[in-house]
Amino acid sequence: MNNMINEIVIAKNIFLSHMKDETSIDWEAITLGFAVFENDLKPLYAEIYKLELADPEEIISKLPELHELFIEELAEAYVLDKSSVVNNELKESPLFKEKVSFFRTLKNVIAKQERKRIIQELPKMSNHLDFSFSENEIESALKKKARADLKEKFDKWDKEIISEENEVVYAKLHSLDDQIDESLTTDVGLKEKGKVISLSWIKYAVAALVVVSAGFFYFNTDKFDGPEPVIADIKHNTQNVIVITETGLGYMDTTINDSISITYVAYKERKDSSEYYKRRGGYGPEANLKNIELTYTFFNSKLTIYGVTAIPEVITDTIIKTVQNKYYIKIEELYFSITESEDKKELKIETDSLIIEELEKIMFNYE
Amino acid sequence: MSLSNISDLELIELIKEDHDNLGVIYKRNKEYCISFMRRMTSSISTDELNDVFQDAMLILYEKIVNEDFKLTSSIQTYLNSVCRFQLLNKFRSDKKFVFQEDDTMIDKMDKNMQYDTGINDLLESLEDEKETQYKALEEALKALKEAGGNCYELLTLFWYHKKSLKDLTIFFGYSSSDNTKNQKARCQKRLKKLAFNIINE
Repeated sequence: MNNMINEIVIAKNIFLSHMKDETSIDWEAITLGFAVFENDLKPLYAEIYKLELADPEEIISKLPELHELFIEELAEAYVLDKSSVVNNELKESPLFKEKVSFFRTLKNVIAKQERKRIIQELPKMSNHLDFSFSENEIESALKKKARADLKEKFDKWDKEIISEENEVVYAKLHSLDDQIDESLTTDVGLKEKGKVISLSWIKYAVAALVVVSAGFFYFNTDKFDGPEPVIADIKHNTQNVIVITETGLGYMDTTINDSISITYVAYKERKDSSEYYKRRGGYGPEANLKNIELTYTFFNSKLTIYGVTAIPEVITDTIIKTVQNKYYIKIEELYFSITESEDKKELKIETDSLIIEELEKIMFNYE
Repeated sequence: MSLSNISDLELIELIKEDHDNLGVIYKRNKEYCISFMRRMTSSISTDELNDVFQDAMLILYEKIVNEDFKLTSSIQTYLNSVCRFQLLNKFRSDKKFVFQEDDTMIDKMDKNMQYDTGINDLLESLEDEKETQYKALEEALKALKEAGGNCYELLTLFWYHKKSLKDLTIFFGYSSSDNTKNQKARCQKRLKKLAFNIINE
């Protein structure tokens, strides 16, 4: 009996997935019941009745299936040498013998293929591995790295110079109506002290901007007091995705080539620019953008997703249609359920673990 | 990470994680192993010696992935010993080869030329009694590989590379070990069905 540890663990795992309460279960007796089940059903039946379950017939009806699983796992462990001892009665069981034969053959067939592959690839296996370097290689790599670091610094300095120039331009734009000449002189004067690049051209650039802005305001601003905010466009991206159609029990019909056109409408830049101007006292014409969460419309095989994130390069490559005619879209490892609707609906993450598992099964079979 | 000075035991751990690291052993130990065998015989071609060395690499790998493997000598000594044992078997089965083993020929001071007579591991035979089932499964496995997807890799990693369900769960990004176990069971069922169809064609 002490030698049946593996068998008990296997029986427990199989059995527990069908039981609500594991207290008062004699696992050794259950395991022995499984071991002799092929020849004698009674010991296992007796153990089930001893448990005084509300509906013992429910579990009894599943026993043949559970018994096969038990034998299969035991045979697998036996072939993998994880199980040193197997009950003698089991060793003589035709089902056990059949499973062992299958797994042993499978193991050998796979080993043959893999041995062949490894031998073919052995000389190449070391190619991508890191071995020792010669002094010259190290010196050259260090030089290269030092140069790259320096270049990076130059780029950083360039960016700093440009952003300082831009700050000056922004400052002028804010008070351009009344103080342009005075502040320009002050700022440019300050910058000239600390910088190598001359900013004398800014005066002319800003002056030109003033002329353009003044003309623009003259013709367009009858409502706003401040400068017209430059609001970013709403961006969108469209792609076609083939629908994975489940035909039942996790299997797919690969002959169906339905596709759905997905458009992702990204409000991120629009929202950011709107908020930027509001923070500066400007007028944000789309103040309600903050209320846009992940929503969608779905009709006539067209799915439109509205979101406040940046536009993704690929929206998804997975839309699943289940046997129940339910659609699920997978975005960045998360599943969302979608139903047909012309009105905007919230795109909700599917949290039901059973549904997620089913969807993963479908994906697995599809792959 | 530089692999040039890594110890044998560290290397074995790396190989358990990724069998591509066998390349380090191949690069580090092959030359000495071939020289070692060359000292034993001059009647075998270099190509044949290469085959013997490659078999020794497979024997070592299959030992490494077995949880209970303990390296009692250096990898070089282990490989030399395995190659020597294979050559001895070859000599016994085919008398045309000339066996030159002589302790005086082996430079005991050179650790790369050492061997252990107690190591007599051989490549496990893959012959199967049920030839029809074997051939059908071989074909079915090929079909499974060509079909793409995860099944071939999943079964290979489990049955040959002895990866645990936990390792496979991380590798394939499944939600749990139970899920991985179910996927594996489905793959095996699919393979069995393919083999059954091949047998009954």
